[in-house]
Amino acid sequence: MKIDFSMLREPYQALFTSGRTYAAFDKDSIIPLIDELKEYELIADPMAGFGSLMIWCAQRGISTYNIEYNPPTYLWGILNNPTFSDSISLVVNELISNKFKFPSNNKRFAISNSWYSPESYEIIMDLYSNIYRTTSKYFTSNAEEISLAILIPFVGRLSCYVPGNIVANVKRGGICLFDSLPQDFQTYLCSLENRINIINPTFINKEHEFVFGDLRKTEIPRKLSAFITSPPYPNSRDYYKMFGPENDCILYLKEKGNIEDYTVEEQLISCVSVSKYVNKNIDYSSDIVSSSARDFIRYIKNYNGTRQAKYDNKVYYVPYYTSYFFHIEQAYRNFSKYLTDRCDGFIILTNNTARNKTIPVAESIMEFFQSLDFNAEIVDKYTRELSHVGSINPRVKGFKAKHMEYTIKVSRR
Amino acid sequence: MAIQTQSGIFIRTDPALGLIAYSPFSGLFYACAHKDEEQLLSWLNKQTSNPPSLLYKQVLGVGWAIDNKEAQYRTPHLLPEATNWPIVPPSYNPILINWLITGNCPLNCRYCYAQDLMYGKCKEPSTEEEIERIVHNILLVDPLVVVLTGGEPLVSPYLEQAIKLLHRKVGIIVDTSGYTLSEKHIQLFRDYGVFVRLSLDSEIPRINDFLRPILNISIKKHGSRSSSNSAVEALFNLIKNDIKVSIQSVATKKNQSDFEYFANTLYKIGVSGWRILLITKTRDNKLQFDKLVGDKISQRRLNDYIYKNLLSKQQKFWTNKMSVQVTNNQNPNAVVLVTPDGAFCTESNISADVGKVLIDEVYPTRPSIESIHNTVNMYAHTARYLNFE
Repeated sequence: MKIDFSMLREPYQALFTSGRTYAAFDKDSIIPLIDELKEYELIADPMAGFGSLMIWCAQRGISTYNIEYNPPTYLWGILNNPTFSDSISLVVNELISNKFKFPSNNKRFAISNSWYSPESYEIIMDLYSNIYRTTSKYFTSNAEEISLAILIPFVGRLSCYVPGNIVANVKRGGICLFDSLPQDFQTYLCSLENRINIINPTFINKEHEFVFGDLRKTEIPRKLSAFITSPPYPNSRDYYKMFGPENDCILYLKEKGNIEDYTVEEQLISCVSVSKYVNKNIDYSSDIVSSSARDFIRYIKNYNGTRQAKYDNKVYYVPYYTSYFFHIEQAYRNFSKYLTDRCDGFIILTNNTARNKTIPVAESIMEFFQSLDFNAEIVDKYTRELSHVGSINPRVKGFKAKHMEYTIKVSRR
Repeated sequence: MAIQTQSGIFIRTDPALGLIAYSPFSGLFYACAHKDEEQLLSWLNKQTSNPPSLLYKQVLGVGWAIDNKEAQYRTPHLLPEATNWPIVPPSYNPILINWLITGNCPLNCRYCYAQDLMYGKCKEPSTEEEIERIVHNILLVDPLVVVLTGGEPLVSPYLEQAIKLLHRKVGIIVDTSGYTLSEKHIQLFRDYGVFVRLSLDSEIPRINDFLRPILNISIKKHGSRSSSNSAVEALFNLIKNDIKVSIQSVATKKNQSDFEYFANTLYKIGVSGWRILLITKTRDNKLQFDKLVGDKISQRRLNDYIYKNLLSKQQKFWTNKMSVQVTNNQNPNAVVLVTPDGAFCTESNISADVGKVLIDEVYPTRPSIESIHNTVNMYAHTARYLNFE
């Protein structure tokens, strides 16, 4: 059977077919960095996202340790973890043979303002139970997690949603069609099996850990000597909401007692919701270490634009960037506690622009690591200018369209 | 006079345009080249199985000669191809008449162009004789199709009578929200070959319901079903009962960005036609118009999005199963309306503040063809229904 993921939501279509989607690592940028760290047996990615680094390291014989806080992306990492690929293949194979019988309600459709209709929730419960029954034969300690990882990419098919203008946007509400649901699920499983069969033989190293955690506070039970990572961009994209249907499904299954806990207690870094900071007059910009970040925030605060621009800056952009830089530093501060005395790492990031000024993500992160007595500098040979990436305004030109990608080398001897 | 051929297709010979055809299977109109008339008539009357060309079969054969999967829904609706029509003359007689059979409606759509005739502002018909008279006057102007609209035609007590009187004389289309669709209506549509155009502006209920809210009085009568839930239920009900149906959506800033995905959903459901309408600015919806469409720059962006993005997507992905028509309403007096009390009118082409304009001041219920030509922009009328606006 050919590989067909067209019944899935757009981020998963892209992830399954090309291995990457919005804001994921670009392979050409990362492979040279992996090669520079080849003396190390293990490379960490403390903000692992979709786990691309794990795959490429596995193909090069290097172990990885990954942390991710967004539940659907974490589960994607679990699904693609080379450590589990052999057993997941067996699970999927058995699910295909079992040919799950969908509940028959004779309904062709559901229309809802929520992510899911009651009929869809019922199907999701049944699907999860069915997958879990099979998974638990092959996985003793983490059957629940593996079951969820297999289920989650498919739940979008059962949701009521309308895609936004870019893959990071999705609108809640719409029509879900129940036609061909059994065939779509079979096609999904067969395509998943095919994909595993193609990618599995490429793995040389199958020792990888993928951990659910908030880098701002998580405890890492080991010391790390090498890392490659990339922070979320301050581009007002909400990665939690990007997976709105999937996160809602996870919360639903948790409410029903089917799964343990993938609670996101604190907003993801770069989350767009800042109202709680505005309302409580919380101002912790003085807690930000990096002077370049503080200067930028001050610039936005004092920006001499239109009345609307000044208002937007006050209620949104100042709290947004303050939150962003504060939480990035918090995350890297915690992470630095688990680095060995001798360590090397790369951080890839993008400076874009706001209010006619470059957002100093690279400068602030460099400054921050230097304040912790690390060496941190931009590696010029990896610097590149990107095209107008991720903007919804194609008419923007010149400075505003400029995005510079930097690679910072962080080391300690 | 319009004639229904053996295939079910309606045809009429227009003194200016030539042969015009209406398909009750797709709800679409086509102008047919003079040179193909004889063979076309033969084929439509099933005297031969060979149409003048494959293009005719792919367009007019849907529903009786070919399966929907083999259809080709291209624009403009000039057969066999647009290149055969260096000039398209305006039709002499109206192609389509919109009969607002009632001004009553359970909905209160924000952009409604007929608000000046609704909710008692225009006298409702009260006898069957009145309906007979209106039908007689409509048929005198020799349309190819009559659209029963309103208000909500399904709440008219004279709907069945009107359909029976028009049956086989003209094509019949019913424009409805589906809010009060019943089994009785479905039976009526099936028995009399009525094509249904169902209004739905977005698949996201809160957006559709914002644009098409229920009138408060209706909530007491029909309960608090939303307009989107009832429209989608009606859609599936009509399809299940093999009633030919298309969707009509009014484009606004609120729903425009959802249109591409909405079209995909309609395509998957099996809807064969989708018509996008840009709002007609009228005296009564002026304030809403500015909020829903915005300034001239917003209007241009909306137009560009529809014409460039959606239509090109239709050409690439949906041509073989779903027609997409765009009605830009830039010529308000391109339509012929019949009010609930039987007067023929159109919209003013000078200012939205003027409102509806009687086509014939002397004989408002029996206009002459000259008065139609003097008030209605017949070129725009032709372009509207043959989809080359």
